[in-house]
Amino acid sequence: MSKEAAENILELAWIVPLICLVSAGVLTTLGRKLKEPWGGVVGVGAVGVAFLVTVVVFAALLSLPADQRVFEHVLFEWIPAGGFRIEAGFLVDPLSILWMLLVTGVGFVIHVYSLGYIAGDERYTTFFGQMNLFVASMLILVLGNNFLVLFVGWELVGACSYLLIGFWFKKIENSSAGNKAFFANRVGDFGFLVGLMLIFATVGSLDFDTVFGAAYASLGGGAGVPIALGTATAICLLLLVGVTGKSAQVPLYVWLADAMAGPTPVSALIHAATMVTAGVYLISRAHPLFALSEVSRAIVTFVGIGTAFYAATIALGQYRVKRVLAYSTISQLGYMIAAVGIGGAGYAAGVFHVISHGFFKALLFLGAGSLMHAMHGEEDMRRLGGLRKVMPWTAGLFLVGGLSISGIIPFSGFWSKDAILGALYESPESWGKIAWGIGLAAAFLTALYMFRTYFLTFTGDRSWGDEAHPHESPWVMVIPMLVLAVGTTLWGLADLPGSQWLHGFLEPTFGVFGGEAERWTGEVVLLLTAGLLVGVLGVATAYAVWSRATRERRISFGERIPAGAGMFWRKAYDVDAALEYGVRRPGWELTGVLATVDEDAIDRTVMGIGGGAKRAGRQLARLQNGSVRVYASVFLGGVVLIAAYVIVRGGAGL
Amino acid sequence: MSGEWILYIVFGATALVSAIGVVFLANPIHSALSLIGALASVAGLFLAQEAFFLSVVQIIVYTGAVVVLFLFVIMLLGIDSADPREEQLLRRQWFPWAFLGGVIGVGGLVLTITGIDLPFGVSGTDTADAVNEAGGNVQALSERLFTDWLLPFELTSILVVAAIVGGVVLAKRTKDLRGSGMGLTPDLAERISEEVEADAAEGELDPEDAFEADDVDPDPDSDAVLVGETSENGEG
Amino acid sequence: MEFLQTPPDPDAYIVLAVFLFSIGAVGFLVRRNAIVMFMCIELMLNAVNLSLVSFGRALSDLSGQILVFFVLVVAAAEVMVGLAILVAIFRRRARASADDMSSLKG
Repeated sequence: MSKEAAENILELAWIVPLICLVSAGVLTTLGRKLKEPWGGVVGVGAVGVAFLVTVVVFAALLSLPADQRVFEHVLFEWIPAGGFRIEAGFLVDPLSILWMLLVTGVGFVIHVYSLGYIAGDERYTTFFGQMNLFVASMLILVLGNNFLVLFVGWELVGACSYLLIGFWFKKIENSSAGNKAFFANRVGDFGFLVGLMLIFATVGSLDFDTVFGAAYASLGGGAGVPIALGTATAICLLLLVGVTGKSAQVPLYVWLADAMAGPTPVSALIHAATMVTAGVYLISRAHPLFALSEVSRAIVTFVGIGTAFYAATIALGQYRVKRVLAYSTISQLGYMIAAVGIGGAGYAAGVFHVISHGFFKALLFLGAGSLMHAMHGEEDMRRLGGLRKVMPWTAGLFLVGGLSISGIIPFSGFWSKDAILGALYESPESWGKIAWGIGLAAAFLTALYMFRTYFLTFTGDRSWGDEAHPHESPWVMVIPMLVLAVGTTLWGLADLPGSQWLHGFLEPTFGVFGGEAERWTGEVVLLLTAGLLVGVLGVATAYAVWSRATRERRISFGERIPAGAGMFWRKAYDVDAALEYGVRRPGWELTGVLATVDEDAIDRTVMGIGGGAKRAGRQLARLQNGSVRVYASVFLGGVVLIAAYVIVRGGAGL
Repeated sequence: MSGEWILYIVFGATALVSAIGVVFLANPIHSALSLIGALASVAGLFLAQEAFFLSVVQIIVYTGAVVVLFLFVIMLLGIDSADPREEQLLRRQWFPWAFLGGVIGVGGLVLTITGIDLPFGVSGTDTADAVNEAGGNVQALSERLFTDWLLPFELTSILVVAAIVGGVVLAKRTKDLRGSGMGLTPDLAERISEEVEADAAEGELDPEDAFEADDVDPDPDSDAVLVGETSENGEG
Repeated sequence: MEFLQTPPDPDAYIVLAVFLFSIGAVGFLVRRNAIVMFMCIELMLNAVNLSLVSFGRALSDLSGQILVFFVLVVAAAEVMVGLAILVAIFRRRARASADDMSSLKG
């Protein structure tokens, strides 16, 4: 492909989100008119076409020489307001194209799966419309060439997430789960927004180019307005607030587990594979800013790795499969945040893990969905078990996903997780090794909870009631899982130590910040072995404890409700209760006070002004007496007065 | 005596006299005919100032179209005789003096604030020579109209169309109006006409009118006297 | 009568226009017949036209005459609509006195 041809194709990258947006518009407006299965066909088709176009764009990008693989194109001037000018444009570079591939690729697979999962739902077409809207928003997020476009996408994915969590809004838990997600995200988005304002106040622009140019300038290279260290730290921490909201990190992680109330494909697509990785994208994108402030990078790393460990401990206590997966997602996101927080080789490792996680977590979720589909919504491990014989495909594919997340060779999870741990260990920062230690412990917990779930669900005695008739899911649901399983098996090849294709591919984005590519050294082998050993240890422990769980033992799980500390643990450390007492009730009280102030002070003032205007109007209405002559006299007098004013002001010379 | 002065005095005097006639003649038809005189005199004054095109257009549009339209409406509505109340007003003894006072007051006020001795310092490019060079008043005017003023000129066509449509809609019969898209539901139209009739009934019982009716001042010559007086004033 | 030897300067026309305007304005205020009030409006418009032409000539600028042209168009449109309104009112009330047209009072 010639250079011109490639650039012509890249210039059309904006078509990808547009396809999904148009399809979303059509599907949501037609809603009821478009009957099953046509709504699904349109929705799946749109994402499929978007994926194909993305592949073409990817090919075009690959055909360019490595140093020219950053393509920016301004579409139109969006907000021209004096000194505040925002141009809407897009940026195709290795980082954004990977995310586009992830969003459209995994999105397509999950859309296909949804054809089977959502079949027969009364809001079938709307579901696909909202899913398409989500894909479009996510694409806008990753394609934007400035922070404001990114923010638009950021808000849109939040809105889609809200809509889809509450998709079955007739159940009150579902809609309140949607609200919870919305509120938690709002807190994060507020921080993000303040961060954007601070960026604008400091640099005077929101374009990635200008802002990062300023960051480079502060590091002593290139032209631009230097950013002071304190300001940079503040910006980074504010961005981190946004990241903790969207990517469900401590302390704003509380919404993600409840978000599982939505349909399972939504959990897979939005709350595991794509939207929640937006935070990772943001930090990767803003890496020059984070490079300025070591403090903020340390905080990001420890928020990430702390979340990874913390969420893993919660996951170990859960009985519902999707909840385990939700906390597992939080934990894995913690790894990614830690990786991009520490920087250097961590950037590529984080991105590597994002896609790796996209494959195996989507696979696990689809497996859980398949399970629930077969068991009529039952997902409590205490009432499952022995399903391997009934649903061999689901069980096998779930096992592949489980092995991958547990970090067992040769699945991608092994390579990507160890890339992160390696990046933490080898980082020049002094605190890297502490983070590595926590990460390793979290990896053990990961293998443990994942295989606890697997064994309790698919092996041992059957513990379900006689009324359940589990069956293997239809092919339209199994094949997407198969595709994802193949993906998670092979994706590890993308960034093997020694070759590190991904690391090289991301070079144009991260440049000098990207760190050295990893080589086969004794240390690397040792780290990989340590990671593998931890994973195997976790799996083995799980096998020893849970693989032969009898029906009686499962039931005893339910009866032996742990008291005190145990209960505290099972209820995810009772954060919800703490929020209830610490945030919601004081907030409620405050709202009550404010409402009183509003009614007694503000309303009365406003109503008083309104009433005064009304009374004055009634008096003035008397002037409107209907006599043309009076009007004309007043008119004439007014004209004379205005003329007099003009003459006096303008002087005799007119 | 310069020729322009002759035109000025003749047409100026006619204009003032006819204008006063418009105001003082009780019969609307007479007013309209007097208006023709006033407008034609203004056309003459345009002529005196070398605005030949406007002078002709003034005759065609005003006397030819506008005044004819006035007369047409007067006759259509059958108000071609003077309203008795109006006639009483115009025949009052004090009325001409009040009118004269009003005109002098308003005119004086305007003249005072504008200042009679207007300083014309700025000079444009359309001197008499330039106009002649362009081929005359009409050519020069049309060149300006269709270049600098083209957009406003085109916009006036919208105005005229709107006026035509408005005229047609407004002048349609009320019966048609009720069912048409005028926004009046039959009920509302009914209520309005009832109210209007009630108002009309009230108006006829106006006590002021009754009082005025007693206060008739039979002075048939007042019109003529007044016209004579003020026309002298206007000429001077 | 020395001044009669030179052509009248713009001030003469302006004064004339002022008096024409005043007659129209006062007429508009004192008459009750709506049609005659319209005629008075025409008088005022003509007074303004006259002043525009005079100003234009004094300033050697044809824009004055072009403005008069537009005023003519507007006046024609105004008469058309105004008379149509009168016709519509007259149908209801059979009287053309402006004093009776007060149904829209506040």
